[in-house]
Amino acid sequence: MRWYLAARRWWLTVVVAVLVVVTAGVLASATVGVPRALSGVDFPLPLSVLAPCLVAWLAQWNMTRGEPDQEAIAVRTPPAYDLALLGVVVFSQIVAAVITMAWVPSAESLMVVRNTMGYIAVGVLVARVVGPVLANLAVMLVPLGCAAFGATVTAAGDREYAWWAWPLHDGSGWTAWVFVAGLGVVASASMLTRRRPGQLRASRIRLLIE
Amino acid sequence: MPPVGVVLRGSWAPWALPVVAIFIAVYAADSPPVDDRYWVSATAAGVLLMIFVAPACAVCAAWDGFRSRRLERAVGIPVRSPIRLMLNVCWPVGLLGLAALGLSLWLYLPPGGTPGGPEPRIVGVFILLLAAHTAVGYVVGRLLPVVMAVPLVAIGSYLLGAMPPAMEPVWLRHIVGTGLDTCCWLDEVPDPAALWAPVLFYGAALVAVVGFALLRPAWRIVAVLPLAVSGVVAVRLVAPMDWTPTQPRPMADASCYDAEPELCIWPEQHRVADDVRVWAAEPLERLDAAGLEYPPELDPLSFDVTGLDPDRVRATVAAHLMPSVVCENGVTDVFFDTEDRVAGWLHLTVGVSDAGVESVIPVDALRQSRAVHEHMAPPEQLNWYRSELDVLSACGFADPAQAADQAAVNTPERDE
Amino acid sequence: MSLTLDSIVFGYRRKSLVFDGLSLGFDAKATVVLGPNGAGKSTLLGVAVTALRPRAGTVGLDGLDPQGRSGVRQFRRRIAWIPQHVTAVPGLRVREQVAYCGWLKGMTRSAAWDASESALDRVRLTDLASRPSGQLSGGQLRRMAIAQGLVHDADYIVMDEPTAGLDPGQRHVFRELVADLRETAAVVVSTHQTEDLTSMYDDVVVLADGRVRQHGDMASFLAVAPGDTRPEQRVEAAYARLVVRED
Repeated sequence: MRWYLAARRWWLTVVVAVLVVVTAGVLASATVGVPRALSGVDFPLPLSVLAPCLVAWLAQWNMTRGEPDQEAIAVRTPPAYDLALLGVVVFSQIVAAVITMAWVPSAESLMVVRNTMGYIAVGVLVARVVGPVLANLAVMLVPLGCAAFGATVTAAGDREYAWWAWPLHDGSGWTAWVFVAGLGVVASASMLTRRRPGQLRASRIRLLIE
Repeated sequence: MPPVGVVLRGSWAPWALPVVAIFIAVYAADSPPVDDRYWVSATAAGVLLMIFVAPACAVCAAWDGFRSRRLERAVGIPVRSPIRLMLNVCWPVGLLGLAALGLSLWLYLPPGGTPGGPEPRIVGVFILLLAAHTAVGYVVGRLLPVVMAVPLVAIGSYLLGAMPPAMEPVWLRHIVGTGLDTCCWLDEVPDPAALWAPVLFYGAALVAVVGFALLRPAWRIVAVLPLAVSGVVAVRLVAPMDWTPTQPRPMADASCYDAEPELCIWPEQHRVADDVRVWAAEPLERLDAAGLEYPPELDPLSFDVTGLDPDRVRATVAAHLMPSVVCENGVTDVFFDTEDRVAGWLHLTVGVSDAGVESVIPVDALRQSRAVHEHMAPPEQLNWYRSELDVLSACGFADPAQAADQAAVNTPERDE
Repeated sequence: MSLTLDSIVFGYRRKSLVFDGLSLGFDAKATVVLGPNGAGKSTLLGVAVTALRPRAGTVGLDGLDPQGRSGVRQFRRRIAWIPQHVTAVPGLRVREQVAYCGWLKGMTRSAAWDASESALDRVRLTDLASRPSGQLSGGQLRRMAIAQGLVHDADYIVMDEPTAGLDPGQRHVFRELVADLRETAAVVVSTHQTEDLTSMYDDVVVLADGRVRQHGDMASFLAVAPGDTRPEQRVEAAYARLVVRED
């Protein structure tokens, strides 16, 4: 386990995950303008929606570090360890969110935890098909795409989101949590399933580390 | 140089091109030029599309950086210089940027017969912007694990384009070039400072990348120096500017007709020049009938858009008559209310249509202006107009003396 | 001991198959797999060690079927895989990386750490044990890869081009190593090196275009060579005849 941890460097992701929660809580009002499609108006995307991407990217990076050929025929199951460590990342975020919410009362911290889980799940699923590099690009496009296509601002200035634009939903909205839970289950199952022939080969992953 | 097919096969640029083209096509309609019949404006409108193009270039270059690093490991120490290697693998990214730039220019192409062509200085800024994003993406792709490098340059490049326009201080948007999105009405040209600032910023980024590639690792920190220095210079250049990156267009560009007032037509308006002279005569006659003389000291009368019609000309004449008051010690709410009333009355007096007036004057002010215009005799209207001008010149204070007192209050006392 | 592949169908893409019903058994103490580039040697060995999953067909080791979690684990415990490409794991030293592979094979941490020392000793890499694996040269990396395969005392050791990038001295060490290994385990090696094949291996498999062109003992392989071939050229002549004959 020690060498597995040394190779994967999950500690870095845990640290960043905690920092993202704290930063999002403190900078709750910070936004990035995302041009909404066919409206000519920017949507102010909160940093708390964008920042969890960093955790998901790092998680992909963690999972590409190792000895892919030996892990492919290992007796132990590195994907199961990866899944457990992803759980540690999320758990550390939950702890950080609880502490942050006591310090800065806001629902942003919960949003960050939920979005981190969702982005990691999207990353895992896309990486299964096209590899971790494009998966990380896809993760980035999730919040930007939701802001561009799934957000509307009413005449009264209220924001409304499409049901599928879960990263933008409030931390207390159950729809988004259900969505993320579903993604998480599917992603976890896919991690524990052996790859079929023709899917990403270990030799291709090898080129991505370092 | 590697064969073209080999480079293209490994590059992401050919795959990115259709994606970028779709983004440009979708968003081009959302960010139309300020004036679509003015080449400068049509060229500058592309800056918002660069928010998508630049990250695409950076991402493709990061992938190329990763590939070149991998290649070096496979073949050993290369004979070519790092810059040559970069150019050898990144040229498809350059073509991607140029194709995207060309597409954005094509989408905003002014109608045939519009004098001039794409504004070369703005195009130059765009090319430099894309080159800098590409170069930085390549270096990041060489330095970081590709799994992190690709998304990091994508989001970094996107944020560099998308965040400054929404941030204070204002110079942030000018230094990265996105301020050009409000350039330019027909009577405006880009402020040279707004062009030099991004040139300095992105040029220095390129120099930094070159330095980074050529210097030994221990000396690479030195490569950041040009970026810091030129960043400071660029900030000093644009610090005095407000949101608009423009300055008045030189009157030498216009054809002016000797009239009262002097009437100037921009080259883009030549098709309607004769009409404009006719359309401008009518509101001036109305002013004359109302007893208002067009002040001879006013600048020549010119128009800020190409799409002119009689109502627009009337409105321009009315707007031209609004006094420009310098209020060093601020103004009161009365000033703004008065300004709206005066503007409303002038618009009504020169004969601007109801729809035209209602589009520029607040409802309450317009109601009062209408009351004056419709129920007072012409001499009374003139007296009312002059008394309102006095209020404006006093910056909204009840009388000049009060304004002076207020000025004294507003002026901080100095410790002797 | 026998490592068998039965009716293997494998392809990386939907329509192009590398193997379409390939059956093969490795039951000698030392088998060499020969074949031109792209013949499918690495894929064959990848399937044999369960690194790659066939679309159809089965792999077995002494009757052990790698189906289900328990079956896969038992299978993989008994087999070692030394792939063609070697990855230096950033953050790990040479001995740690070798020990990590032992740990992946189900050994306890202390057992893997102890075994890593003897594995490195067998490939003459002990003096570099504490160096970061990323700092090794190509030949040293390859020796580390061999050590990774040796660390858990497998019954079957499958090596893909293990001598690529090794200098003549290191190749000599490798030949000694194979001779040593075959005392305790069965060895399957794919290679392009034809020197000393006759003394090192018992069986020969010649693979081309995803099909087995020849499988048998060394004598039957050498018999394929034309009768007038000089003894030192018989291996190459037989190989050329088998590969070229049906092309």
